[in-house]
Amino acid sequence: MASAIGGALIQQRGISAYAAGFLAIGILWFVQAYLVDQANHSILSTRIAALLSLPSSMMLILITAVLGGVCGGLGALTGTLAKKVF
Amino acid sequence: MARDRLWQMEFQTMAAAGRLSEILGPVTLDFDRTARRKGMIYAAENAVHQTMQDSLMREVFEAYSDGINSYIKSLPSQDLPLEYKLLNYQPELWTPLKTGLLLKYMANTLNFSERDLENTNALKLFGHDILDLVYPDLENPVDPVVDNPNGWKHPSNQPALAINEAPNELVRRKLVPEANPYNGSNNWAVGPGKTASGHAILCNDPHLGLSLPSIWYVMQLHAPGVNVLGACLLGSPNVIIGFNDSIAWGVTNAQRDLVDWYKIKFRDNTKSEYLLDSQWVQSEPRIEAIGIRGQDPLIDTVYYTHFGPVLFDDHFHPSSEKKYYALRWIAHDPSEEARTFYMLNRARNYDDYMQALNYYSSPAQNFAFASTSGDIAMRVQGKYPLKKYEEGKYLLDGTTTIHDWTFIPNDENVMYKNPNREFVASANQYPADSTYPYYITASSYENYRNRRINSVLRKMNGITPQAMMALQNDNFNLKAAESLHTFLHALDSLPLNANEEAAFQSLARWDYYNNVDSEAASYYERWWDILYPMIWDEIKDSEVQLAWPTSFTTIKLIKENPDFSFFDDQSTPEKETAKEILVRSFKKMAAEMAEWKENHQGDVSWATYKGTYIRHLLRIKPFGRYNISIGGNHQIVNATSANHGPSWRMIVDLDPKGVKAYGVYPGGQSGNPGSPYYDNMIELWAKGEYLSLSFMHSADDMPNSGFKNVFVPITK
Repeated sequence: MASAIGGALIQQRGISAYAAGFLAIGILWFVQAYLVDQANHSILSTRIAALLSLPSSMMLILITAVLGGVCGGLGALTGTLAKKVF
Repeated sequence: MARDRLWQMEFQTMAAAGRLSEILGPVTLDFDRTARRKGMIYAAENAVHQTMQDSLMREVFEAYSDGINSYIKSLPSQDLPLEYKLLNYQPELWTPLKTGLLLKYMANTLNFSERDLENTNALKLFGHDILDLVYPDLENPVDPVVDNPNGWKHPSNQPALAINEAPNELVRRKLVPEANPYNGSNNWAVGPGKTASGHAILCNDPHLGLSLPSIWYVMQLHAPGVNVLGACLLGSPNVIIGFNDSIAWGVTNAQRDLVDWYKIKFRDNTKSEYLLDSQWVQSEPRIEAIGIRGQDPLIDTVYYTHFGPVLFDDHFHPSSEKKYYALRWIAHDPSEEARTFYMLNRARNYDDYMQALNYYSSPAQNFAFASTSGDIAMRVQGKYPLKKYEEGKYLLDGTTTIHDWTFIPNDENVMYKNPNREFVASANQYPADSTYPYYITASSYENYRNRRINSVLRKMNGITPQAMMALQNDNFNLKAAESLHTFLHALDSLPLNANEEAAFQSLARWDYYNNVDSEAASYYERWWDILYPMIWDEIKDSEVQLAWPTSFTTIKLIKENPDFSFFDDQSTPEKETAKEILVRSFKKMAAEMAEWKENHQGDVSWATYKGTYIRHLLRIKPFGRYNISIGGNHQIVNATSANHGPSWRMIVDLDPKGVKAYGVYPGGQSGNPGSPYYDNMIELWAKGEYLSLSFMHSADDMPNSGFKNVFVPITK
């Protein structure tokens, strides 16, 4: 939602909108996940990473960030394209 | 308890109730059907019904339920324990029946062990004389729980002296698994005369399968009228093993045959009637609907008889023979074990302890006791069927009521108080000396840990809690001490290759301690693990199920009957004696261990070889702990084997000025795999260290505690 609104307010070409949204939410999720993980001394992330057969807990955090980024990018893109329609 | 272990509490009771397939799908179907047919839910219903007849216990059970439910209701779905999210299901509300199921789950773990059907097969295949040799009712020598020659009350009731008519048939069925035969424990209490401080000291370490979340949860319960601390089971109110400011108690499993099988004669295929005392009696069908995730439920009809459920029929582990066996199990009888623990939590002295135990019927336990006034006691308590010689050791005739159970009265159970030797101890061994007037049989008894514990305690004086910690962690291998010499003798003048020579030298120099760094312990244990099934190949390869003789009896036969026919390996044309089997197993062991050593950078030390591990209940590998460095093994006081061992270690110093206690267990208080408290005590436990248990006397008395939960009653 947030990225849709941001995308709508700041008119850009599709790809830059997508990139901005991706970076914004990607960084946000990365920082959040990283801070939570640090507070937990990576106990849970290490176990879940092993459960998912990932090479390390950092990979789990990066994947989280990428997932967030994809959603953020799509949201921003939606916002920008929707603005164009109206 | 719910806050920290909700998923575990629910999962365990689902397992008890035979409802795992609802969560895990068809893979657990046989398990669930077995649980239903054993009458687990039936047993729980009977226990809860009986216990809740008492208004006080009714309040206890309902309050416990309400507490758990208020937590469940307050839990938003994002805060559900991890396992619910992984398996995608929700917690159910708790009921008193679930507490009953948890208690029967423990009963199943501890006293669903019997060999009646296997003994029946052995009798038919081998005859009575061989059966007595291979499965003796009483091994010699024995160091019983209570040694009180000629100190027993004259029995108020004795069955007729006639020897029970033994069956003459085979049971051609796949039987249901019995509880792990190593489920047991150590406990002991030393009196003031033997301790340095002049206070009694009580110790207990229950031995169970090691898993995470841990089976025990340590709590202190402080409220008007009660202040108790100890280990609790997830799903039951009250402390199960612990102490208060006046007394301490602990339990070990009392070995006794509390399961019997009765052969049922149905009138016809409808199974609606069966023959009892020359009359056709109606059976009671009980419909068990077993939910299966992703499929239609399975409907299983179980017929209940005068004795209990007919577990084996044409639809469960069927056989071509039309024979039906009903299960009589002490756990089915109405019981009030919860009340015993409620009362023990509040007991102030020996009389309170005895009163509390009068309500206890199952699962039978050896209850050790010590008080700040210096009393120590042991009571082998349970409801025990009163039997004729050999009655209940085999399959029984279910067309008659002459084998119905009557019970030994409570006051004629095995027990004593403040014995001359100034200590009481039990380690799942034979309960009494040979002058005890009632017939006793069981699937097996321990005969090593008990003798080691007693021999150490007899010689010790000026005992301190630290000395007791050392004893709980004692790695002395009595079995090896009594057998290795004979084993090595079989290799005399035998040419050995390099690997065999290395193994031989290591064993010959061994001090018989299964310590963490011992190489010889690895050689011995592997040798035994190859030798034992090699000797008993007749049992391993038998078409009908047979019981495995004990290690003690096996070693005795090797020493005293080396030409015994069973030593012969059936698969070879030669006739082997003990010597040939010892040599063959030794060579095999030496070759295997050399290969192991190569694959493990030359490290064949016992802790590495044993590789003790603790798995999550769901066997999710990243949630477990592996290769824990700890010594010991089955039948050693430190009973830690690969995946089984002391699930709680407690030492209580009954100082009248302030009880002091120490405890540790292999896990952590939290059931959350993401928490640092999920497995934080494992290292301490492995090293043989203990935490000091802060026993608080008031709400303000809080040394370095992190958390305190103060519960305020809801005024209705």
